[in-house]
Amino acid sequence: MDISSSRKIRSISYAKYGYLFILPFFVVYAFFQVYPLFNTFYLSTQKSTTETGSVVLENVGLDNFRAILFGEGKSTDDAGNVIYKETRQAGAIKKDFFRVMGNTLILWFGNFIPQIIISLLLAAWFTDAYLKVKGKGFFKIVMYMPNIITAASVAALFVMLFSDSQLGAINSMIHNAGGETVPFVSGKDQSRVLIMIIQTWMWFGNTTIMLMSGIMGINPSLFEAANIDGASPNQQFFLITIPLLKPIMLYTMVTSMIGGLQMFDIPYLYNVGTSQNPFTETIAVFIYNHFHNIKPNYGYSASSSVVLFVITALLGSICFAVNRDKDNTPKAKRGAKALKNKLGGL
Amino acid sequence: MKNLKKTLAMISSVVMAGSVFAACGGSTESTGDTTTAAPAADATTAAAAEGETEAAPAETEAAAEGGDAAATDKLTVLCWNTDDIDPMLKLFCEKTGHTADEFNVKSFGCGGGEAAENYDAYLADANNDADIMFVEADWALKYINDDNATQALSNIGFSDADYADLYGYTIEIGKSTSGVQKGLSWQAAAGGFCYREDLADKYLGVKTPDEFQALVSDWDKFMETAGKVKEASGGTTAMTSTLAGVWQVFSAARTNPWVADNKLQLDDECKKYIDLAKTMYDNGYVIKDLAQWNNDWYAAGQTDSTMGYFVSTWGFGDAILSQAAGGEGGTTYGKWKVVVGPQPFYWGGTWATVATRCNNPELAKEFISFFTTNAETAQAYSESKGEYVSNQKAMEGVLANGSYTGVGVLGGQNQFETLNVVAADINMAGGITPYDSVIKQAFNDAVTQYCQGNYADVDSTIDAFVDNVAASLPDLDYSNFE
Amino acid sequence: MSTQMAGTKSNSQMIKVRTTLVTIVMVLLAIISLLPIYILVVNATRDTFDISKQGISLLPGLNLFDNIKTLMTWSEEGKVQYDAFIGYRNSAVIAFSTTLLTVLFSAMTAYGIVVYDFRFKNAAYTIILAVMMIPVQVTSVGFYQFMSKLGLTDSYLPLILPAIAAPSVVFFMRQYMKSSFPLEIVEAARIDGCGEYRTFFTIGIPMMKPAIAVQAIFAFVANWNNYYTPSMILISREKTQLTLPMMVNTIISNDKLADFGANYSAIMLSIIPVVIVYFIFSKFIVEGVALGGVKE
Repeated sequence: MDISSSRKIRSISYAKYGYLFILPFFVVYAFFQVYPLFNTFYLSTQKSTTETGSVVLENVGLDNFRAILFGEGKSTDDAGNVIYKETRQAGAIKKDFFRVMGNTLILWFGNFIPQIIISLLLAAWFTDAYLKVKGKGFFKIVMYMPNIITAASVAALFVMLFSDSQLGAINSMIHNAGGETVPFVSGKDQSRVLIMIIQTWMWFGNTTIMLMSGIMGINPSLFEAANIDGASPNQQFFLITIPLLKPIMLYTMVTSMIGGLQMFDIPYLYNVGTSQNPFTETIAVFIYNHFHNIKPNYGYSASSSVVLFVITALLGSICFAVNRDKDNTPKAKRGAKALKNKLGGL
Repeated sequence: MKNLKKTLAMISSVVMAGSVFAACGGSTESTGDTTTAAPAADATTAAAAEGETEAAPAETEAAAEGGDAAATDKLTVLCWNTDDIDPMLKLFCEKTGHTADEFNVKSFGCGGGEAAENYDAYLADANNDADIMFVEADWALKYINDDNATQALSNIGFSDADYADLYGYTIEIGKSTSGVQKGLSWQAAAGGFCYREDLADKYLGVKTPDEFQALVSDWDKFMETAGKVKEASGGTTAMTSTLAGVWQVFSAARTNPWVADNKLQLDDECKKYIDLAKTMYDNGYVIKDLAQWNNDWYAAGQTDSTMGYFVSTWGFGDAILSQAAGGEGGTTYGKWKVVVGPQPFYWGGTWATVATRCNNPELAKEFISFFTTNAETAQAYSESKGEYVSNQKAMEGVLANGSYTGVGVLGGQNQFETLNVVAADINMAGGITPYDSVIKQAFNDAVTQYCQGNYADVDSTIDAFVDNVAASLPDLDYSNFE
Repeated sequence: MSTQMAGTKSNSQMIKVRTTLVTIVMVLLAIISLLPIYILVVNATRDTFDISKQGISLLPGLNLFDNIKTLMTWSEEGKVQYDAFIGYRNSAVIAFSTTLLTVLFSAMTAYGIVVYDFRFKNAAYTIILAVMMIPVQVTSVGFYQFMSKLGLTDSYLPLILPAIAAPSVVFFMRQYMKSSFPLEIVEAARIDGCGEYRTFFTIGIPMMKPAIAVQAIFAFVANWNNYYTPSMILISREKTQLTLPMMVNTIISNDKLADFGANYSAIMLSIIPVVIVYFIFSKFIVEGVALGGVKE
C-alpha cells in the first residue's frame, strides 16, 4: 500500500515521530469521542429515573432495544416469571422510533432527489464548454451561499415567514388573495415539503460543486470525440456524463444519507417555542428530545443512538466498498479515476 | 541527543499552545461568571459554615470549577424571565430599605416550560448559589418533591397559621406529595375572557360586559355566540384566538388528577374538550392553526381577526393582552373588556420555593412573606403591578381602597372585580402531579392533530394521547386504557 | 443512430438558444438562493405593524435602527438572552480556537501518517477513516453525561478541545499531501540537519497552505454555525456565554417579544459575519469544495 513511501524513508528510527505526530489526535479522540461512544453504549443498557430529583441509573440489559425495536416490555406472567411481551409503553416507543426513522428517510429522500436533479443539470451546464453563459463564477458563488448560513438563523427566518395562521407573512398574502391558509409548520405534508425545500435550498450548491469536480475528472477527449461524432448535448449528458458519474453519485448519495440521518438543526429549530411536529421529528431530534426532557430517558436516547450507529456503519461500509481502491484517493478523484480506467478499456 | 532536546522543546511548545487555547476558553467563561459572582473563596466558606454541602446531590463534588461560585452573600433568585422579579424587587426595596445589591437574579431567559432543564443544570453544580426558586404549577412537584432541591417553608420560619389569608389552592399546589408546605404563590392565577368591546358592539350589538357575559355564560352559549360573530363578520372574526386558551379553561375544570395510584386517567372535562375543540376548529371559531405564544398570536389582537383571548391575572400586561393590543397607543389599546366567561378558571401562576442550599433564610422569608402572607405589602404589590395576589385580605383591601382602577388596555374597567368573582370559585379539585407538563403537552398535541384531521375520531385521538404519554413515561400504569 | 440525427442539428444557433435558456434558469436559481436573505434584510428594516399588515415586501423600510434599538432594550432589560456583540465575541472565540486546533493538529496527524513509516500507520489511518462517519448525535448522550460528570458543562473546553481530532480534515489533508507533497524534501531537510518538528513547521505547513486554508475556512464556518454541541454543553444559558446560533434560538423561542422587525433584525445580525466572510473568501471556498475532487 505504501511501498513508495517506505522506499523513500527506510530508516526505522523515524518511526517514533510518526507516533508523536499522530498522538494528540488519538488522545483527544479517545477522550472526547471514543469514551463518550462507549458511554453511550453503556447508557443504552440503563434506565434513568428522576423520582428523587437527580437522575438515577438502573441496569436493564437489552430492554431498551427490545422496546424501541420490537415493542416488547418486561412484565411477569401469572407464575411470577419474568417474561417479555408487548406492552403499551414499549409499543408506544417502538411506534415513535419507527415514525421518526420514517420521517428521517422521507425528509432525506425528499431533499436528495430534487437536489441531485438540479445539481446534475447545473454541474453539466457549468462544465459545458460550448455554453457561453456569462458570470459562471458569480452563479456558483451565489448558489453555494445558502450552505454557509447558520442553520439556526435559516430555521428562524423560514419559521417566521411561513408561520401557520392567516397572520403569518406568506399565509397572510394567501389569505388576502382569498386562498385557504397552509399549515407550513404544523401540517403533515406541508411541513415536510417546506423542510425539504429548505434543505434543498441549503445544499444544492454544495452538491453541484461536488458533481462538477466529478465531471471535470472525466476525460475531456471523450466529450470531444462525442462531439465530433455529432452527439447532441443531451445525448452527451445521458450517455457519457451520467454513466461515468455513477460512482461519485453513489458516493454523494451515501454521504448525503449519512448526513440526512443526522438532520437536526432545521427540523428541531423549526419547532422551537411550540411542540415538536411529529411528522418532521427526525431520529436526531428524537434522541435529543428524550435526553433533554423534564423527565429524561437516557436509555431510549442511547439505544436509538446505537441503532443509528449501526445503520451509519453499514452505510459507511457501502461507501467504502464502492470507493475501495489501492490508493484511498479522495472520493471524487477516485470516481474520476475509475472512470478513466473504464475509458482506457474502451 | 540534540534531536531529543529539540523534540522536547517542540512538545512543550505544542503543549503551551494547547494551554493557551485552554486558557482562552477558560477565561471567556470566567468573564461570563464574574459579572454576577463574588469571590469563590467566600462561596465555599459560607457554604461550609451553613453545613449545606451534604444536602447537595452526590455527583456534584466533581463539579469543582473555580470561578463558578455565585454570590452567596446575596439572595439568589432563580427564574426564567424577569417579568415578575423586576417589579417585585423594585417594590420590595422601596418598602423595606433593602437594596437591589442584596439580590442576585438568575434569569434563564426562556419559556417557563424549559426552565426546569436549566434549573437542573444550574443546581447540578454545588457551587452555584440558589436561595429562592420560582416554579410553575406544571412542574412544581419536580422540585417540591425533591428534598435535595427545595426545603420546607417551616425551616425558614413559616408556620401554618401564616397561610390563613391565602387562597386555598395556592397553598395546596405548594405542598409536596407527602403534604409538606414548600412553596407559596403570590398570584391567584384567576382568569377571564377578554373581548373586543368595539367588535362586540358591531357584531352582537352588545354594549356592556354584563350583556356580553350573558352571551357566553356557558359553553353552549359561547358556541352560539361564536357562530353569530362568525356570520356577522362575514367569516373574518373568530370568537377566540387559539384553542390553547380554551384548553386552559377545561384543564382548570378537571376534577381528577392526571395520574392516580400511578395510573394515567382522563378526566371527563378533557373528553368534552376534544369534541368542543374539533367543532371550534372546523367552524372557524378559532383562528386556523394559529399557535399560542407565536408572534402572530399577539398580532391577531391588532386586527379584527379575533374577538377575544382567554387571559389570566398575569396576562393583562405585556405577557398577553397589552402586547396583543399593540402596547400603549396601539391600535386596539383600551378597546378590551374582561368577563368571567363560560367557566371560572385559573391558569398558571408562579410559586416561590426555598432552595435546600439557601443560605439567607431571613431575607428569603422576608421576601416571600412580603408578597404572600403579609396582607399589607401584598396589597401594595397588587396595586403597583396590577396583579391579582394570592392573599385574600390584600385583595379585599385593594377592592375596598379603590385606588387601583384597572390596567390601561381595558379602557377603564378594573379586571380585579371580575377576577374576584372567578377566584372565589377556584377549587383545584384536579390537583397536580409531577407529570403534568408532559401529559398536558401530549394531550394538546393529540387534540391538535385531531383538529387538523390526522386522527379519524375521538377514540383514536385518545389512543394517540395515551401512546404519547406512554412513550415518555414508561413507569406509569396504562391499564385504564386497555 | 439517433446520435447522428441529432448531431446534425447541433450548430451555433442551437448553442445560442441553449445558452439563453441555461442563463435564464441560472438567474432564476440565483434569485432563489438570494431571495430569502433579501427578504430577511428588508424585513429587518421594516416596522412591525407594516410587517404584520403586509406580510412580505420587496421594498425596505426605514426602521432598521429602531428595530436594533428595540432589540438592545430587550437585552438590557433581561427580556431575552440576545446581544449580538457578545454573540459575535463568543462565537468568534470558539470558532477561531477550534479552527486553529483543527488545522494545526490535522496537518500534524496527516503529516505523521504520510511522512513516517511506522508499524500501526495503516491501522491508525483506517481508524481515522472508520470514525469519520460517526454522527455527533451518536456520541452526544455519552459525551454530555461524561462532561457533566467532569463538571465541564458551561465551559468552552468541551467545545474547543475536541477540535484537535477532526477525522475528515485529516483525511482531506492526507489526500492533499499524497498528491502534492514530495517526500524527498523531508529527506533533504534531514540531510541539512533540520529536526523533524522544525521540518514540519517550516516546510510541511507552508507546503500544505492551500489545503490548510480551505479547511480553515470550512472549519470556521462549521464551528460558527454549530448549534447542537453548544446547546448541549452550555446549559446554564448565561447570556455572556451564549453563541450566536443559541441567541437566535432564544429569540424565536421567547414568547413575549412580538416585534417582528426586531426579530428579523436579530436574525439578520446573526448572519452578517458569515456572509461577509463568505463573500471575501467565496472564490476560495467554491474551489475548495471542488478541490477534494479535481486535485490530481
